[in-house]
Amino acid sequence: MIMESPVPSPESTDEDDPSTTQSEDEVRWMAELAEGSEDAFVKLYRSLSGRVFAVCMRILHDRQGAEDVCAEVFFELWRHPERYDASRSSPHTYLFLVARSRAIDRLRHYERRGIGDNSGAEMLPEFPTLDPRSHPETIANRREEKAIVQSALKGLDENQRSVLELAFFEGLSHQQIADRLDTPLGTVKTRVRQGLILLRTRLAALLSTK
Amino acid sequence: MKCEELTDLIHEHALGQLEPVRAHELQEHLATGCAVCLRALRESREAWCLLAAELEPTAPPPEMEEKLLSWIRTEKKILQERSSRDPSQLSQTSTAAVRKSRVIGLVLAASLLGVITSVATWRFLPASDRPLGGLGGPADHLTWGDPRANQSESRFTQVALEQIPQRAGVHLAVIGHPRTSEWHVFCMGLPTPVRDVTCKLWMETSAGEILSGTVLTVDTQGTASAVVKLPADISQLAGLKITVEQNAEAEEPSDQVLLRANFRQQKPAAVDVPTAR
Repeated sequence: MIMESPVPSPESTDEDDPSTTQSEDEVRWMAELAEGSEDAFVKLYRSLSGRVFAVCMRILHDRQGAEDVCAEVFFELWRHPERYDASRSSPHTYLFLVARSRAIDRLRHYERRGIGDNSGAEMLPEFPTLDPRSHPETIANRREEKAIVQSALKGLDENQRSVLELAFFEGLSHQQIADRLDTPLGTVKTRVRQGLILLRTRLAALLSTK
Repeated sequence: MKCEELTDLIHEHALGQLEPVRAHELQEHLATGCAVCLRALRESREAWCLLAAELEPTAPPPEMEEKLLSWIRTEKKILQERSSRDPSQLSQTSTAAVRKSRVIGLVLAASLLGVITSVATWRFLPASDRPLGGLGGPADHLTWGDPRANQSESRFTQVALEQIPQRAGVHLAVIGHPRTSEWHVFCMGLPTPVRDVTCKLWMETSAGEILSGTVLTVDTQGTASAVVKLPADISQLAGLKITVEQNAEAEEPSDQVLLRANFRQQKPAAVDVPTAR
């Protein structure tokens, strides 16, 4: 892991190859990171930190807490790139899940300590939402990918979306969701199952027509 | 269990929210290499994360990148200095380093003492009180003191850990044996007991999931010793951490972390847990 590699300057224009997809870039950078490349780490950070930070903010509603968790997640990524298993998920999914897990740990801590919910107060971004150092075509590709995801999510009905969000952003189990919504456990399981199937199939269909 | 019956469990497992017993059952099934369920798990993770992908990216403050690069370069520098240190320079080791090595020596000594105590305790226990009911007990699950694990061989091994104290003076030693499904953990430098505050040790998987928490009973000297039961599949373990908890029953670790420890190898090969149950 001791390897000096040049870090791209903020002005560099070759950070992303616009001819490749974001996932392909991420996989290549993860492989380079495993070899100790600081350059690859910076590329991954610049590519994914905005969304990892957004996940932390969405769960914690607390800017300072979200910053701590986000920094911790990326530092661990640097120290232990071998923990990523390409057969189990894409790099961004892996990072989202680790960030989610860490943020929910902190949320539980806040709840135990009776620290209030800052919902709304810190939600507006104070910083640019897309890294201006990215290639314009890359930014366009990512906007298109986001539009596809939003389109897939629109296929969910309100009940399905509600149970998925409670599980993902609040870390509730199926039973806890059933208790929270005063809904039978079987109904919650069905909504989760159907919601995830719907997301998967709509996403696959949208990507195939892209 | 049929694969189609596992769908709901897979969706909960993808988020690390399955209760431990069910998670264990599912992990055992996945460990068989079932391609259908492994694919379902991957697809479930990707589908869940669409909820995250939909969020508007919010760039963290610019200082974060600088801070991370500063941490990385500091760590690199320390590692380079360590790896390039000439043996002839050892005599010039600083007082602080000597003190640290003494502390580590004490931890190791305490570890050895604990192991000897475990064995001796077993030997003096009546057969009926022994963990497995004596030599005639079931042969599939070994615990500390089991004669088949430690009488005729000396294969106790200190589990290789990279320790990252979050509070000065906290140290940890973990002793394993290839045939036990438990580790003996020794800690020092912990906060001395205060009412309603507990120290807990947690096992962490490579996906950042927390598997279990063990209460550490800290004495007035700030030391603690505990036997930790290992999960069925230790290859998923990435490290340990010790936290301070307001509630001993806490099921999730607080963010008051005293020490993090990562396994030096991807798999803690020092311990080969028996698979038969």
